[in-house]
Amino acid sequence: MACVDRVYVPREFPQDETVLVAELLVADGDAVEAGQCVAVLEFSKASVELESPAAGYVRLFCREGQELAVGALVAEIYESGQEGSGQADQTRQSVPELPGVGAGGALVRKPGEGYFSVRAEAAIREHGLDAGDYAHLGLVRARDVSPPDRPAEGAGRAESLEAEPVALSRSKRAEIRSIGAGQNAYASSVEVLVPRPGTSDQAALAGLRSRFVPVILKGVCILLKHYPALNAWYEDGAMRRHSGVNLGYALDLGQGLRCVALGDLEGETPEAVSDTIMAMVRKYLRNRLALADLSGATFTVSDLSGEQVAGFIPLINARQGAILGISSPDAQGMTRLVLRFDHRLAEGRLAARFLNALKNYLVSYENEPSDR
Amino acid sequence: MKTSLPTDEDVQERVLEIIASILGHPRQAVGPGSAPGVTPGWDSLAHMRIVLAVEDRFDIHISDQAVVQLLSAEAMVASVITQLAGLDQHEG
Repeated sequence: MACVDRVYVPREFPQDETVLVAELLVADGDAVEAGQCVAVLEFSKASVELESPAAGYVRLFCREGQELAVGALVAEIYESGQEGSGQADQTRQSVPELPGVGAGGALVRKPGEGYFSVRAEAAIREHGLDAGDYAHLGLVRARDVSPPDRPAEGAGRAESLEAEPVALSRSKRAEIRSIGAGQNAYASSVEVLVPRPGTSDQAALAGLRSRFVPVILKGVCILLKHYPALNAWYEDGAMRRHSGVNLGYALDLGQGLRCVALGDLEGETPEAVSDTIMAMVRKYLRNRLALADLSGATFTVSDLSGEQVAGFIPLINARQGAILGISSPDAQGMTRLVLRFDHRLAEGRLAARFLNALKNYLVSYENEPSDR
Repeated sequence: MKTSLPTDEDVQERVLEIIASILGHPRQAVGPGSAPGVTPGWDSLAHMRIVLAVEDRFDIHISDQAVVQLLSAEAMVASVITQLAGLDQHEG
Protein backbone atom coordinates (compact mmCIF):
# COMPACT_ATOMS: atom_id res chain seq x y z
CA MET A 1 0.00 0.00 0.00
CA ALA A 2 1.24 3.48 -0.67
CA CYS A 3 0.58 7.15 -0.35
CA VAL A 4 -1.88 8.00 -3.12
CA ASP A 5 -1.93 11.76 -2.78
CA ARG A 6 -0.85 14.68 -0.65
CA VAL A 7 -2.50 17.87 0.55
CA TYR A 8 -0.39 21.03 0.68
CA VAL A 9 -1.02 24.59 1.83
CA PRO A 10 -2.12 26.45 -1.33
CA ARG A 11 -0.97 29.95 -2.23
CA GLU A 12 -4.41 31.46 -1.89
CA PHE A 13 -3.36 35.08 -1.38
CA PRO A 14 -0.11 36.47 -2.75
CA GLN A 15 0.68 38.40 0.42
CA ASP A 16 0.49 35.38 2.73
CA GLU A 17 3.65 33.38 3.32
CA THR A 18 2.19 31.45 6.26
CA VAL A 19 -1.27 30.35 7.37
CA LEU A 20 -2.90 29.21 10.57
CA VAL A 21 -4.37 25.72 10.88
CA ALA A 22 -7.69 26.90 12.32
CA GLU A 23 -9.44 23.55 12.42
CA LEU A 24 -8.74 19.93 11.59
CA LEU A 25 -11.89 18.20 10.41
CA VAL A 26 -10.47 14.67 10.46
CA ALA A 27 -8.25 12.69 12.80
CA ASP A 28 -5.18 10.62 12.00
CA GLY A 29 -6.18 7.35 10.37
CA ASP A 30 -9.71 8.47 9.44
CA ALA A 31 -11.13 7.22 6.18
CA VAL A 32 -11.84 10.13 3.80
CA GLU A 33 -13.66 10.50 0.52
CA ALA A 34 -12.32 12.42 -2.44
CA GLY A 35 -13.47 16.01 -2.05
CA GLN A 36 -14.03 15.69 1.70
CA CYS A 37 -12.82 18.69 3.72
CA VAL A 38 -9.90 17.78 5.96
CA ALA A 39 -8.83 21.13 7.38
CA VAL A 40 -9.68 24.82 7.57
CA LEU A 41 -6.76 27.18 7.01
CA GLU A 42 -6.95 30.81 8.04
CA PHE A 43 -5.27 33.21 5.64
CA SER A 44 -5.00 36.94 6.27
CA LYS A 45 -8.13 37.65 4.21
CA ALA A 46 -10.26 34.55 4.47
CA SER A 47 -10.52 31.01 5.71
CA VAL A 48 -10.13 28.23 3.17
CA GLU A 49 -11.30 24.64 3.41
CA LEU A 50 -8.82 22.05 2.16
CA GLU A 51 -10.28 19.01 0.49
CA SER A 52 -8.78 15.56 0.12
CA PRO A 53 -7.92 14.98 -3.55
CA ALA A 54 -8.46 11.24 -3.23
CA ALA A 55 -10.28 8.63 -1.19
CA GLY A 56 -8.26 6.72 1.40
CA TYR A 57 -6.92 7.09 4.91
CA VAL A 58 -5.52 10.34 6.17
CA ARG A 59 -2.21 11.01 7.93
CA LEU A 60 -1.95 14.51 9.35
CA PHE A 61 1.27 16.51 9.42
CA CYS A 62 0.04 19.43 11.50
CA ARG A 63 -1.93 20.37 14.58
CA GLU A 64 -4.74 22.83 15.14
CA GLY A 65 -3.24 26.20 16.01
CA GLN A 66 -0.05 25.50 14.12
CA GLU A 67 1.39 27.99 11.67
CA LEU A 68 2.39 26.49 8.32
CA ALA A 69 4.29 27.92 5.40
CA VAL A 70 2.62 28.13 2.00
CA GLY A 71 3.46 24.88 0.21
CA ALA A 72 3.88 22.92 3.44
CA LEU A 73 2.52 19.40 3.69
CA VAL A 74 -0.80 19.21 5.54
CA ALA A 75 -1.71 15.55 5.07
CA GLU A 76 -1.03 12.43 3.09
CA ILE A 77 -3.72 10.07 1.84
CA TYR A 78 -2.94 6.35 1.99
CA GLU A 79 -4.65 3.35 0.51
CA SER A 80 -4.58 1.58 3.85
CA GLY A 81 -5.23 2.82 7.38
CA GLN A 82 -1.97 1.42 8.75
CA GLU A 83 0.41 3.39 6.56
CA GLY A 84 2.58 6.35 7.47
CA SER A 85 1.42 7.15 11.00
CA GLY A 86 4.92 7.01 12.45
CA GLN A 87 6.23 9.45 9.92
CA ALA A 88 3.41 11.86 10.60
CA ASP A 89 3.88 11.68 14.35
CA GLN A 90 7.58 12.35 13.99
CA THR A 91 6.94 15.37 11.77
CA ARG A 92 4.37 16.86 14.07
CA GLN A 93 6.51 16.40 17.14
CA SER A 94 9.33 18.34 15.53
CA VAL A 95 7.11 21.39 15.08
CA PRO A 96 6.36 23.65 18.02
CA GLU A 97 2.65 24.25 18.61
CA LEU A 98 2.95 28.01 18.34
CA PRO A 99 6.00 28.74 16.23
CA GLY A 100 7.68 32.04 15.48
CA VAL A 101 5.55 35.10 15.14
CA GLY A 102 6.69 37.92 12.97
CA ALA A 103 5.93 40.32 10.16
CA GLY A 104 3.92 38.62 7.45
CA GLY A 105 3.10 35.69 9.73
CA ALA A 106 -0.32 34.22 10.39
CA LEU A 107 -0.16 34.93 14.14
CA VAL A 108 0.10 38.04 16.28
CA ARG A 109 1.36 37.71 19.86
CA LYS A 110 -0.03 40.06 22.49
CA PRO A 111 1.95 39.86 25.73
CA GLY A 112 -0.28 38.59 28.52
CA GLU A 113 -3.20 38.05 26.18
CA GLY A 114 -2.05 35.14 24.03
CA TYR A 115 -1.76 34.51 20.33
CA PHE A 116 -4.19 35.93 17.79
CA SER A 117 -4.65 35.06 14.15
CA VAL A 118 -4.25 38.04 11.83
CA ARG A 119 -7.98 38.02 11.07
CA ALA A 120 -8.94 37.68 14.72
CA GLU A 121 -6.69 40.60 15.63
CA ALA A 122 -8.21 42.69 12.82
CA ALA A 123 -11.74 41.85 13.98
CA ILE A 124 -10.91 42.87 17.55
CA ARG A 125 -9.62 46.22 16.33
CA GLU A 126 -12.57 46.74 13.97
CA HIS A 127 -15.19 46.12 16.63
CA GLY A 128 -13.31 47.92 19.45
CA LEU A 129 -13.17 44.74 21.55
CA ASP A 130 -10.85 44.05 24.48
CA ALA A 131 -8.22 41.49 23.55
CA GLY A 132 -7.88 40.60 27.23
CA ASP A 133 -11.38 39.09 27.14
CA TYR A 134 -9.95 36.30 24.99
CA ALA A 135 -6.78 35.66 27.00
CA HIS A 136 -8.20 32.43 28.44
CA LEU A 137 -8.25 30.87 24.95
CA GLY A 138 -4.48 30.99 24.46
CA LEU A 139 -4.93 30.96 20.71
CA VAL A 140 -7.68 33.18 19.30
CA ARG A 141 -9.04 32.47 15.81
CA ALA A 142 -11.35 34.62 13.73
CA ARG A 143 -14.30 32.39 14.58
CA ASP A 144 -13.75 33.07 18.30
CA VAL A 145 -14.25 36.80 17.85
CA SER A 146 -17.78 38.09 17.46
CA PRO A 147 -18.95 41.73 17.38
CA PRO A 148 -20.75 43.07 20.44
CA ASP A 149 -24.41 42.14 20.65
CA ARG A 150 -26.89 44.85 19.83
CA PRO A 151 -30.38 44.75 21.30
CA ALA A 152 -32.82 44.01 18.50
CA GLU A 153 -35.59 46.50 17.93
CA GLY A 154 -38.92 45.22 19.15
CA ALA A 155 -37.30 42.31 20.94
CA GLY A 156 -39.88 42.51 23.70
CA ARG A 157 -42.73 42.03 21.26
CA ALA A 158 -41.13 38.96 19.75
CA GLU A 159 -40.95 36.88 22.92
CA SER A 160 -43.59 34.47 21.72
CA LEU A 161 -41.70 33.75 18.48
CA GLU A 162 -39.08 31.06 18.44
CA ALA A 163 -35.99 31.29 16.31
CA GLU A 164 -34.16 28.02 16.04
CA PRO A 165 -30.57 28.28 14.83
CA VAL A 166 -29.81 26.03 11.87
CA ALA A 167 -26.16 25.33 11.13
CA LEU A 168 -25.05 26.41 7.67
CA SER A 169 -23.40 23.91 5.37
CA ARG A 170 -19.69 24.15 4.75
CA SER A 171 -20.26 25.15 1.16
CA LYS A 172 -22.60 27.93 2.25
CA ARG A 173 -20.05 29.18 4.78
CA ALA A 174 -17.37 29.13 2.12
CA GLU A 175 -19.70 31.05 -0.18
CA ILE A 176 -20.31 33.67 2.49
CA ARG A 177 -16.58 34.14 2.92
CA SER A 178 -16.18 34.54 -0.82
CA ILE A 179 -18.94 37.10 -1.40
CA GLY A 180 -18.43 38.94 1.87
CA ALA A 181 -15.02 40.44 1.15
CA GLY A 182 -16.43 43.93 0.52
CA GLN A 183 -16.62 43.98 -3.26
CA ASN A 184 -20.42 43.70 -3.24
CA ALA A 185 -20.88 46.66 -0.92
CA TYR A 186 -19.77 49.00 -3.73
CA ALA A 187 -21.32 47.10 -6.63
CA SER A 188 -23.46 48.50 -9.40
CA SER A 189 -24.86 46.80 -12.47
CA VAL A 190 -25.89 47.28 -16.10
CA GLU A 191 -28.09 45.06 -18.25
CA VAL A 192 -28.77 44.31 -21.91
CA LEU A 193 -31.20 42.03 -23.72
CA VAL A 194 -29.76 39.71 -26.35
CA PRO A 195 -31.56 37.36 -28.71
CA ARG A 196 -31.08 33.72 -27.85
CA PRO A 197 -31.01 31.78 -31.11
CA GLY A 198 -33.15 28.73 -31.62
CA THR A 199 -31.59 25.44 -30.64
CA SER A 200 -32.23 21.92 -31.76
CA ASP A 201 -31.74 20.70 -28.22
CA GLN A 202 -34.89 19.81 -26.39
CA ALA A 203 -35.90 22.70 -24.16
CA ALA A 204 -35.34 20.82 -20.92
CA LEU A 205 -31.74 20.07 -21.86
CA ALA A 206 -30.94 23.40 -23.46
CA GLY A 207 -28.72 24.42 -20.57
CA LEU A 208 -26.52 21.38 -21.01
CA ARG A 209 -25.18 21.75 -24.49
CA SER A 210 -26.33 24.74 -26.46
CA ARG A 211 -23.87 27.01 -28.25
CA PHE A 212 -25.29 30.11 -26.61
CA VAL A 213 -23.53 29.93 -23.26
CA PRO A 214 -20.16 28.70 -24.64
CA VAL A 215 -20.11 31.61 -27.09
CA ILE A 216 -20.81 34.02 -24.24
CA LEU A 217 -17.94 32.52 -22.22
CA LYS A 218 -15.59 32.77 -25.20
CA GLY A 219 -16.65 36.37 -25.87
CA VAL A 220 -16.11 37.36 -22.24
CA CYS A 221 -12.55 35.99 -22.36
CA ILE A 222 -11.79 38.02 -25.47
CA LEU A 223 -13.29 41.23 -24.12
CA LEU A 224 -11.74 41.07 -20.67
CA LYS A 225 -8.36 41.68 -22.28
CA HIS A 226 -9.68 45.01 -23.53
CA TYR A 227 -11.39 45.85 -20.23
CA PRO A 228 -8.74 45.08 -17.59
CA ALA A 229 -10.66 46.95 -14.88
CA LEU A 230 -13.23 44.14 -15.01
CA ASN A 231 -10.51 41.50 -14.69
CA ALA A 232 -9.17 42.88 -11.45
CA TRP A 233 -10.03 43.28 -7.79
CA TYR A 234 -9.87 46.04 -5.24
CA GLU A 235 -7.53 45.83 -2.29
CA ASP A 236 -6.05 48.36 0.11
CA GLY A 237 -7.03 51.34 -1.99
CA ALA A 238 -5.62 49.96 -5.23
CA MET A 239 -6.76 48.07 -8.30
CA ARG A 240 -5.04 44.70 -8.56
CA ARG A 241 -5.08 43.52 -12.14
CA HIS A 242 -4.91 39.82 -12.86
CA SER A 243 -2.09 38.99 -15.24
CA GLY A 244 -4.33 36.79 -17.39
CA VAL A 245 -7.92 35.67 -17.84
CA ASN A 246 -9.19 32.60 -16.00
CA LEU A 247 -12.94 32.42 -16.43
CA GLY A 248 -15.02 31.12 -13.55
CA TYR A 249 -18.35 29.40 -14.16
CA ALA A 250 -20.79 29.12 -11.27
CA LEU A 251 -22.33 25.68 -10.95
CA ASP A 252 -25.16 24.79 -8.63
CA LEU A 253 -26.57 21.39 -9.44
CA GLY A 254 -28.06 20.64 -6.07
CA GLN A 255 -24.87 19.95 -4.11
CA GLY A 256 -23.92 23.52 -3.26
CA LEU A 257 -22.63 26.42 -5.30
CA ARG A 258 -19.20 25.91 -6.83
CA CYS A 259 -17.27 28.26 -9.09
CA VAL A 260 -15.13 26.19 -11.41
CA ALA A 261 -12.19 27.75 -13.22
CA LEU A 262 -12.34 27.12 -16.98
CA GLY A 263 -9.20 29.02 -18.01
CA ASP A 264 -8.87 31.39 -20.96
CA LEU A 265 -11.37 30.21 -23.57
CA GLU A 266 -10.52 32.72 -26.32
CA GLY A 267 -8.99 30.13 -28.66
CA GLU A 268 -11.57 27.41 -28.01
CA THR A 269 -14.51 26.43 -30.20
CA PRO A 270 -17.97 26.53 -28.58
CA GLU A 271 -18.01 22.74 -28.75
CA ALA A 272 -14.71 22.51 -26.84
CA VAL A 273 -16.03 24.97 -24.25
CA SER A 274 -19.14 22.86 -23.92
CA ASP A 275 -17.02 19.73 -23.42
CA THR A 276 -15.06 21.51 -20.68
CA ILE A 277 -18.28 22.49 -18.91
CA MET A 278 -19.65 18.96 -19.19
CA ALA A 279 -16.46 17.54 -17.73
CA MET A 280 -16.83 19.91 -14.77
CA VAL A 281 -20.50 18.96 -14.37
CA ARG A 282 -19.53 15.30 -14.22
CA LYS A 283 -16.83 16.04 -11.63
CA TYR A 284 -19.29 18.15 -9.63
CA LEU A 285 -21.96 15.46 -9.55
CA ARG A 286 -19.41 12.77 -8.66
CA ASN A 287 -17.95 15.08 -5.97
CA ARG A 288 -14.54 14.96 -7.64
CA LEU A 289 -13.82 18.65 -8.09
CA ALA A 290 -10.25 19.30 -6.95
CA LEU A 291 -8.92 22.48 -5.38
CA ALA A 292 -7.28 23.29 -8.72
CA ASP A 293 -10.69 23.15 -10.43
CA LEU A 294 -12.03 25.73 -8.00
CA SER A 295 -9.07 28.10 -7.70
CA GLY A 296 -7.83 31.15 -9.50
CA ALA A 297 -10.85 32.44 -11.42
CA THR A 298 -10.54 36.12 -12.30
CA PHE A 299 -14.11 36.77 -13.49
CA THR A 300 -17.24 34.66 -13.08
CA VAL A 301 -20.26 33.88 -15.23
CA SER A 302 -23.38 32.75 -13.39
CA ASP A 303 -25.84 30.96 -15.66
CA LEU A 304 -29.41 30.63 -14.40
CA SER A 305 -30.91 30.38 -17.88
CA GLY A 306 -32.29 26.94 -17.09
CA GLU A 307 -34.11 28.14 -13.98
CA GLN A 308 -36.95 30.15 -15.56
CA VAL A 309 -35.89 33.53 -14.16
CA ALA A 310 -36.39 36.81 -16.01
CA GLY A 311 -33.47 38.40 -14.18
CA PHE A 312 -31.31 38.22 -11.07
CA ILE A 313 -28.48 40.07 -9.34
CA PRO A 314 -25.31 37.96 -9.09
CA LEU A 315 -22.75 38.57 -6.33
CA ILE A 316 -19.10 39.24 -7.07
CA ASN A 317 -16.64 36.66 -5.77
CA ALA A 318 -13.58 37.41 -3.66
CA ARG A 319 -10.53 38.70 -5.55
CA GLN A 320 -12.73 39.59 -8.51
CA GLY A 321 -14.24 42.85 -9.69
CA ALA A 322 -17.21 41.77 -11.78
CA ILE A 323 -19.61 38.95 -12.59
CA LEU A 324 -21.94 38.28 -15.51
CA GLY A 325 -25.41 36.80 -14.95
CA ILE A 326 -27.39 34.99 -17.68
CA SER A 327 -31.16 34.78 -17.21
CA SER A 328 -33.77 32.65 -18.98
CA PRO A 329 -35.08 33.65 -22.39
CA ASP A 330 -38.46 35.39 -22.41
CA ALA A 331 -41.42 34.60 -24.67
CA GLN A 332 -39.78 36.56 -27.47
CA GLY A 333 -36.53 34.62 -27.13
CA MET A 334 -34.67 37.54 -25.55
CA THR A 335 -32.23 36.84 -22.71
CA ARG A 336 -31.18 39.35 -20.08
CA LEU A 337 -27.46 39.67 -19.39
CA VAL A 338 -26.51 41.57 -16.27
CA LEU A 339 -22.98 42.74 -15.50
CA ARG A 340 -22.43 43.49 -11.84
CA PHE A 341 -19.18 45.27 -11.14
CA ASP A 342 -17.21 46.81 -8.28
CA HIS A 343 -17.75 50.54 -8.67
CA ARG A 344 -14.38 51.26 -7.06
CA LEU A 345 -12.72 49.79 -10.17
CA ALA A 346 -15.03 50.80 -13.00
CA GLU A 347 -18.08 52.89 -13.73
CA GLY A 348 -21.38 52.37 -15.50
CA ARG A 349 -20.21 53.72 -18.84
CA LEU A 350 -17.32 51.28 -19.07
CA ALA A 351 -19.51 48.39 -17.93
CA ALA A 352 -22.16 49.33 -20.51
CA ARG A 353 -19.55 49.37 -23.26
CA PHE A 354 -18.31 45.94 -22.23
CA LEU A 355 -21.81 44.53 -22.21
CA ASN A 356 -22.76 46.04 -25.57
CA ALA A 357 -19.52 44.74 -27.07
CA LEU A 358 -20.45 41.30 -25.79
CA LYS A 359 -23.93 41.64 -27.26
CA ASN A 360 -22.47 42.61 -30.66
CA TYR A 361 -20.06 39.69 -30.46
CA LEU A 362 -22.89 37.24 -29.83
CA VAL A 363 -25.01 38.59 -32.68
CA SER A 364 -22.12 38.59 -35.15
CA TYR A 365 -21.04 35.11 -34.05
CA GLU A 366 -24.47 33.70 -34.74
CA ASN A 367 -24.55 35.38 -38.15
CA GLU A 368 -21.22 33.80 -39.03
CA PRO A 369 -21.67 30.07 -38.56
CA SER A 370 -18.05 29.00 -39.00
CA ASP A 371 -16.13 28.62 -35.75
CA ARG A 372 -13.65 31.30 -34.97
CA MET B 1 -14.84 -16.25 -16.88
CA LYS B 2 -16.92 -14.18 -19.22
CA THR B 3 -20.17 -12.91 -17.71
CA SER B 4 -23.31 -13.11 -19.80
CA LEU B 5 -24.90 -9.91 -21.03
CA PRO B 6 -28.20 -8.83 -19.51
CA THR B 7 -31.11 -9.25 -21.85
CA ASP B 8 -32.62 -6.22 -23.56
CA GLU B 9 -35.60 -6.53 -21.22
CA ASP B 10 -33.30 -6.53 -18.20
CA VAL B 11 -31.52 -3.43 -19.45
CA GLN B 12 -34.81 -1.64 -20.01
CA GLU B 13 -36.08 -2.55 -16.58
CA ARG B 14 -32.89 -1.42 -14.86
CA VAL B 15 -32.77 1.88 -16.77
CA LEU B 16 -36.42 2.60 -15.99
CA GLU B 17 -35.79 1.79 -12.32
CA ILE B 18 -32.93 4.29 -12.27
CA ILE B 19 -35.04 6.99 -13.93
CA ALA B 20 -37.95 6.41 -11.54
CA SER B 21 -35.63 6.45 -8.55
CA ILE B 22 -33.87 9.69 -9.50
CA LEU B 23 -37.10 11.48 -10.45
CA GLY B 24 -38.80 10.21 -7.30
CA HIS B 25 -41.65 8.58 -9.21
CA PRO B 26 -43.17 5.12 -8.71
CA ARG B 27 -41.60 2.64 -11.13
CA GLN B 28 -44.96 2.20 -12.89
CA ALA B 29 -45.05 5.93 -13.70
CA VAL B 30 -42.01 5.65 -15.94
CA GLY B 31 -41.96 3.93 -19.32
CA PRO B 32 -40.00 3.92 -22.57
CA GLY B 33 -41.81 7.09 -23.63
CA SER B 34 -40.71 9.06 -20.59
CA ALA B 35 -38.55 11.99 -21.64
CA PRO B 36 -36.98 15.27 -20.56
CA GLY B 37 -39.49 18.08 -20.62
CA VAL B 38 -42.38 15.57 -20.73
CA THR B 39 -41.94 13.57 -17.55
CA PRO B 40 -42.25 15.78 -14.46
CA GLY B 41 -38.91 16.57 -12.85
CA TRP B 42 -36.78 15.46 -15.77
CA ASP B 43 -34.77 18.63 -16.22
CA SER B 44 -31.14 19.05 -17.24
CA LEU B 45 -29.84 18.31 -13.72
CA ALA B 46 -31.96 15.17 -13.39
CA HIS B 47 -30.83 14.15 -16.86
CA MET B 48 -27.16 14.35 -15.87
CA ARG B 49 -27.87 12.39 -12.69
CA ILE B 50 -29.65 9.70 -14.68
CA VAL B 51 -26.80 9.49 -17.20
CA LEU B 52 -24.18 9.14 -14.46
CA ALA B 53 -26.26 6.52 -12.62
CA VAL B 54 -26.70 4.53 -15.84
CA GLU B 55 -22.95 4.75 -16.49
CA ASP B 56 -22.23 3.44 -13.01
CA ARG B 57 -24.85 0.70 -13.18
CA PHE B 58 -23.64 -0.75 -16.49
CA ASP B 59 -19.98 0.28 -16.22
CA ILE B 60 -20.09 2.19 -19.50
CA HIS B 61 -19.26 5.75 -20.57
CA ILE B 62 -21.77 7.93 -22.38
CA SER B 63 -20.00 10.66 -24.31
CA ASP B 64 -20.86 14.30 -23.71
CA GLN B 65 -22.09 14.54 -27.28
CA ALA B 66 -24.41 11.56 -26.74
CA VAL B 67 -25.75 12.87 -23.43
CA VAL B 68 -27.95 15.49 -25.07
CA GLN B 69 -29.10 13.10 -27.78
CA LEU B 70 -30.65 10.69 -25.30
CA LEU B 71 -33.99 12.43 -25.41
CA SER B 72 -36.14 9.63 -24.03
CA ALA B 73 -35.91 6.60 -21.78
CA GLU B 74 -36.17 4.47 -24.91
CA ALA B 75 -33.14 6.17 -26.47
CA MET B 76 -31.20 5.66 -23.26
CA VAL B 77 -32.05 1.96 -23.17
CA ALA B 78 -31.02 1.57 -26.83
CA SER B 79 -27.73 3.34 -26.16
CA VAL B 80 -26.92 1.01 -23.25
CA ILE B 81 -27.80 -2.09 -25.26
CA THR B 82 -25.60 -0.92 -28.15
CA GLN B 83 -22.66 -0.17 -25.86
CA LEU B 84 -22.91 -3.48 -24.01
CA ALA B 85 -23.04 -5.36 -27.30
CA GLY B 86 -19.96 -3.48 -28.49
CA LEU B 87 -18.07 -4.30 -25.32
CA ASP B 88 -19.09 -7.93 -25.59
CA GLN B 89 -17.79 -8.13 -29.20
CA HIS B 90 -14.58 -6.42 -28.16
CA GLU B 91 -14.00 -8.88 -25.32
CA GLY B 92 -15.03 -11.88 -27.40
